Amino acid sequence: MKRSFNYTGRVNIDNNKIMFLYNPNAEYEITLDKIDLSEYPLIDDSEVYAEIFYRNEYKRQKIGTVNNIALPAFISLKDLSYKENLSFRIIVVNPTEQKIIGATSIIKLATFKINEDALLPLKYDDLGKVVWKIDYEHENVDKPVLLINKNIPGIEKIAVSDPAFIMTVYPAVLREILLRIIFIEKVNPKDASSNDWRGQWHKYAIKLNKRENLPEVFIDDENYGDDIKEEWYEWIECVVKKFCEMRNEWESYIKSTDS
Amino acid sequence: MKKIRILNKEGIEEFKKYINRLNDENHRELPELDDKKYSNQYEKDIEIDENKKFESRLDLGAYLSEIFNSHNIKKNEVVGQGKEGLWTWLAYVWFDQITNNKSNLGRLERYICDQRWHRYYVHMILGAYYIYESLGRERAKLFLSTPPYVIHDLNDHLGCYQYIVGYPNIVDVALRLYWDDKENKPKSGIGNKNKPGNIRRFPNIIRQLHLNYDLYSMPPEKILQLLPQEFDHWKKCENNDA
Repeated sequence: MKRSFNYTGRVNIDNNKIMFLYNPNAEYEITLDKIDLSEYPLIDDSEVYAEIFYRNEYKRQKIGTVNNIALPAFISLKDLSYKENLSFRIIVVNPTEQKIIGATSIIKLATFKINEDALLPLKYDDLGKVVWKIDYEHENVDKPVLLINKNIPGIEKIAVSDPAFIMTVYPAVLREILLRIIFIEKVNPKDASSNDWRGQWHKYAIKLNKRENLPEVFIDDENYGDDIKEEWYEWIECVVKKFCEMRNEWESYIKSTDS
Repeated sequence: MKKIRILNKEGIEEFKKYINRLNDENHRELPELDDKKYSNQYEKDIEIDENKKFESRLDLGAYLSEIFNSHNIKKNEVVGQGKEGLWTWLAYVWFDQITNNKSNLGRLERYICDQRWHRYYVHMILGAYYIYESLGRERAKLFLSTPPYVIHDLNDHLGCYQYIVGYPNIVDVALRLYWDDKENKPKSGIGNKNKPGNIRRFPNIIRQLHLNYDLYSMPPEKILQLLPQEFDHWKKCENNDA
């Protein structure tokens, strides 16, 4: 029988009481969505922190006290190096003695759930030999869902942290969705509602690219000439290019292919 | 002045071979690695002075910090996986300085940056920049106040710990214990394994305290009070007189 000793009296918080969400559309934007400390004997005004670390990188964010936790708590990892390897932990600190009275064990980024409210929810499914596809009518979700083949070993970690996957799949996803919105669904960015997924994607694209090269004339039954189509293709490519430029995975990807 | 470049795989291998052959007098001239066969220009146009002379690793770290900051390049953009070629190229450029004209040769990892081995701090250039950029001049002096070709024990024994380099208040504690303000350098004897409270003991004790205390938010004075008796000597003495 494995024995363990807890001389410190520190409460071991079950990792299952914590839920971190990962937003694949935003560069390493993490949300602490759930934390349940109700069953633990912790002092009400003890301070609760989320710690993020890897090697010598360290960051912490206060998320409230035991009796007053502010959720959801958004955590940006933009200023940290080694993003793909980050570890997380929740600690509870007695403010009087500054003693750690409760802590989870280490939680890795790869175990995070995907944020369902994210612009592009991500789900794992049996896709035969297809690596990924976008489902525009997935179950009851009224937005495109990125389906990734669950039969690929380690795919849950690959999909959120592998530079090759991020630099090749996500730009293609972005391109496909924008092509669909503009050329198939024919929704003009200027008319799109922010309550609708098409409007949300347009908003995201404009946020990436500002309004550079945004064509003046939209495609419709009267305006469907090659020159107008070409302008919109170019705009989509600009958006995809800006998306790639903002990612930090480029160098890691190049290194991984340099063999 | 020259524009920053990044060594590719061939360039790193060529540099490695050169270093390994350095005992052979016939091969002491640096290979030409600025050729596009061995390196590419860094994505931004940034120039460094390849002839700049550094008094210390602190100066080297400060110089690179200033260069990158002046181009709005943050630490996390140049540190991390995939950035090894950049740091190895910088070691190539200043190789004579960081080896004292090849008379102070250290382990290969001092010059060939390999972050897979969790040992960024042993690289002569990356370690200096990282510590300087993370801690600022006043705290980084503890680790970097050596000639550019020397790595102090403080760097190797304390620089590897996240709960030391990542916690500025812990560095302040280490400064109180191990820095001689009068001489403006580390106290002598701090690396002596036989001395109680030496720099090898410090991370072990801090690690134990870190399990129970929120050291990150604790002021240095309070952390000093938590340290066991073996450190009392270092708290008291201004200069080593043991």
